[in-house]
Amino acid sequence: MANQIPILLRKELLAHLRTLRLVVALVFTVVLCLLTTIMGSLDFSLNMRAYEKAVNELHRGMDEVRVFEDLQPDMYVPPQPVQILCRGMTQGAGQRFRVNVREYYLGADQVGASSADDLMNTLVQVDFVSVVSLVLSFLAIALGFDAICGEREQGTLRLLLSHSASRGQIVAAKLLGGFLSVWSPLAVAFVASLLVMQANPDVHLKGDDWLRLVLLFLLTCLFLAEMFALSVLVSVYTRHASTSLIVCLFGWLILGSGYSSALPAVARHTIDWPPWQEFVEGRNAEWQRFYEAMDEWEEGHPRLSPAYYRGLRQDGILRYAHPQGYEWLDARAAFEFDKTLEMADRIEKIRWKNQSPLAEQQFAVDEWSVLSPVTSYRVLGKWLVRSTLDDRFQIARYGLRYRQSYIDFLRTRLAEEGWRRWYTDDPPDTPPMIEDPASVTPEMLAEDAPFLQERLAWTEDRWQEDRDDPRRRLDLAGLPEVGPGWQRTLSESLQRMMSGLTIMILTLGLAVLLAVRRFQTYQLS
Amino acid sequence: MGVIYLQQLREYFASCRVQIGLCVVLLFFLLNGVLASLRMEQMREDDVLLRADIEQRYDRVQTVASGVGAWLRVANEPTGTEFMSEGGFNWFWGSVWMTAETGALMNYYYGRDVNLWMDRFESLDWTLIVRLVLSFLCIVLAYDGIAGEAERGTLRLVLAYPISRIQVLLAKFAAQLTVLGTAFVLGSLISLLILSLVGDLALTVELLGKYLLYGAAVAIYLSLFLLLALGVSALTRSSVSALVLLTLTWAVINIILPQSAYLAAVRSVGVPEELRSEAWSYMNQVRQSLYDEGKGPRNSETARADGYTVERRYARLMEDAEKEGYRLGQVWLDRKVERYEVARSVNLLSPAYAFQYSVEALLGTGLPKRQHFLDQAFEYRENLRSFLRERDAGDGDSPHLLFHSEFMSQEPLDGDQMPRFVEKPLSPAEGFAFSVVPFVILLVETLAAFLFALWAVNRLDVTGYAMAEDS
Repeated sequence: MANQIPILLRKELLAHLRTLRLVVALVFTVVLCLLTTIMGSLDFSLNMRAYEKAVNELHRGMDEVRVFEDLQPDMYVPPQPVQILCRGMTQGAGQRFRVNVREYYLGADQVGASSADDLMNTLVQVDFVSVVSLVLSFLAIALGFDAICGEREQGTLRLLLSHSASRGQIVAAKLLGGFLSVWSPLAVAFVASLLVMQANPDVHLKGDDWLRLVLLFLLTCLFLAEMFALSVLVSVYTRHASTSLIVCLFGWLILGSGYSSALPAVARHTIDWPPWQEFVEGRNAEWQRFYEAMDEWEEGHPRLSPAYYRGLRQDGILRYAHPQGYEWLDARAAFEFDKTLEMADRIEKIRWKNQSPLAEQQFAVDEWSVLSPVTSYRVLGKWLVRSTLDDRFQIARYGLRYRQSYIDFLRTRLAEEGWRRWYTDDPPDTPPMIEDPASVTPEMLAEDAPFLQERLAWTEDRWQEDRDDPRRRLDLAGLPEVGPGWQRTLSESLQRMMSGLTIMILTLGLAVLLAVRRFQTYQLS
Repeated sequence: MGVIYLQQLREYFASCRVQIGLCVVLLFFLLNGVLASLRMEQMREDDVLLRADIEQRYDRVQTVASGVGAWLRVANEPTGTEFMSEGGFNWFWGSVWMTAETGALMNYYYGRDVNLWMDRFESLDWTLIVRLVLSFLCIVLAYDGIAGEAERGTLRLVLAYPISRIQVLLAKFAAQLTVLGTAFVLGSLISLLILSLVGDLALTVELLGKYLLYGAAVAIYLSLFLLLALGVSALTRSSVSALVLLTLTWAVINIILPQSAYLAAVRSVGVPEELRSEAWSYMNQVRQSLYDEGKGPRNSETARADGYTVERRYARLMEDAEKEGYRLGQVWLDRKVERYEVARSVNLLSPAYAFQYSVEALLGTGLPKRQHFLDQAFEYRENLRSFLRERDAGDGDSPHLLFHSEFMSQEPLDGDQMPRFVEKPLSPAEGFAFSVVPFVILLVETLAAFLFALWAVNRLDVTGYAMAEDS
């Protein structure tokens, strides 16, 4: 028996490509993909501007900062161009992880004009992946539902079987022809979308991005093949095209819009979460604990008389205090530093305990999405472009390591330069405002006392001389840089996709296998 | 005409598409009932905590002055029909924190717990089911209404009856609408049954009224899809082409167009975050500069000695600063709404959202409710201030520096006596007024669909099919 597949394939392709349904679907797909990518690309530029502004502000702030206490070297992640095609949980925006001693937050924040807006939060967003998952999956079904039963009804199946081709070859050709027919509009739409992205001067695609884009295309091909194979499967199991159509249509509705609307609602209402108030109380208790620890420390290390700490206070920075006063303040700052770090860790633990059930809700949605090809495809797309919630946490996990290296840097620097660098920019040889605090009475420190007035006037003059002293500038050499690694590598992303991908491939294989087996015994009359 | 209607109806109820479709619709309503019941139970638990938080703020008030300085919280109330139309209730701001003290803006946040770590999704309410599932069922019912009969050759038979084409169209339409109406009524009754048994929903006359209004809107919305489907079915030569065209149209107007609204809005109206902080920093700057110039309030002993002259001036200037601060804050609030309105206008191009916005307004929820709530929060602050002003006026020892707690009456005040915030729901007249625009759009679109179907059926050339069959 000669290999009939090329001939059959040609017949299938011609049958599909000449139909009105394919033309209509092609036009719809290309127009919609173009529109969404254009809008996504414009939004990307907005997000890029917001990100650049935030980073500029960060650098400006770091240039102006005088003491380590005010330093906040936040970690910023730029918006990712591949996310134009699949916005996901990052909404295509840049991300920020706050880096300081006092607090941190495991869910990175979004940097962008529209983040956290109660009105805009009600709107669902469109992207390439969501258009494809609806429109092209529908085309796959519209092409596949009458593959076998349609030909039976028209009587052409008998004709087809009278040729020398085996039944297996016929199904194989039908599947292959269908795959190629749905992949062709996809290719057109994908290339058009890439061109739109490339036309945006803000978009710079790196090697890794290109690889991810290719994989996204392959993933989409796999998804469409799966949908087509499933509809062919239905057509082998039914006798009439009209029945097959109804089953396919409702299947498409339920697997697509139905399941994706119901899944988050179910997750939201079935996974219980503790009230926010619980966190607020826990946090207050931690602060209370912190204050108590500080009070206890001060009991063991009695404060000197107020004259030792009197100096010029500007922008929250103390200057020209007495060296003995500084000595006490240094010891206090070192103790407070450790206590603050401990408190930040404990508060974040309480916050995570309070908030993790909410994150679990989204994780559950991602996990259970494997049950439907449509939702599975969308979630796999998010993993591929790194826009899942877990990718946001990944940024925070990296940020946390960065914060640790920042704290180590602080400890080294403060050990070298003395703890006074934490809260003041006074070099060690700065003359104090009050030279002999022991001889100062409380009356002399009253707001309108001549002694205080005279000393204040002296320090203000002195400050005018000292303010440009280069030693007062905060030297940030050695501040750890934010290196690469804040996002998953491709192999890590693929690892996370493994279960979803396996199920997708298995479903495709099973659908093909069942269709072939069933067709062997398919009754013509 | 009646004959065709009855015959069609019999055919539909016997067909597999209606049976499967009915099962799907009922499944969705069942899920809606269960989820809404769970949500109601959760809300009852949340509300206990919410009330406790609100009340303890009043409990801490001991004097008129502390009443002025207290940060109070007001929260919005559910309409009770969230299962029909959620209308952004879980997403829009539902809590406002405020103080009567001069120089502080209001703070806004989500009312009940909201999950910001979740991908945006729509609640599974009746509106979503009608918008997506029932409208899809319209297409499944009507895509081959004309084309199918033409393909089978029965159309000539039907047209041979001594009735006009319009009557044939209307008979088919009426039969299809009856099927869909049955699906909706059965489904909604299941949902109501679950809600009243599990979720303790009270079945009142008011609810019945809302239900009837809602049903009318559903009927109009579904008519639109049926007529569109019948029209396309008459226009295309094959039923499969009609189906592809209709389903893609359905996907565009139901899903893709509304999803593009976000991007269109973000692109056209910018809401810089600075607008919000500007309002605060304006007031703080005025306050700071007054202090810096030595024109800030002094300690009460010194102030009393010279009749509070400096403080009175400070209070007057801060009052003006607050007015300006609130004006700036309002610019920010308005701009946010303006941006959202752009998204709504894009959505209104889709009949699905014309339907959704109509029912939201009729049920007293959605954007009108959010705005109504915020207006009432502003009003409440005014009421609170008049109450405190009166209590302060009764105290001869008070310096009467209004809304600066340090210079107001130290007379005891029981927090229980302070006025409470009670949200008034949108009145039916207001709701109706808000629904006019979307409703008129929906009606016009339905009328257009009707005329389109009429035109398509009238230009139908039956002989063409006959020749195709003969050859």
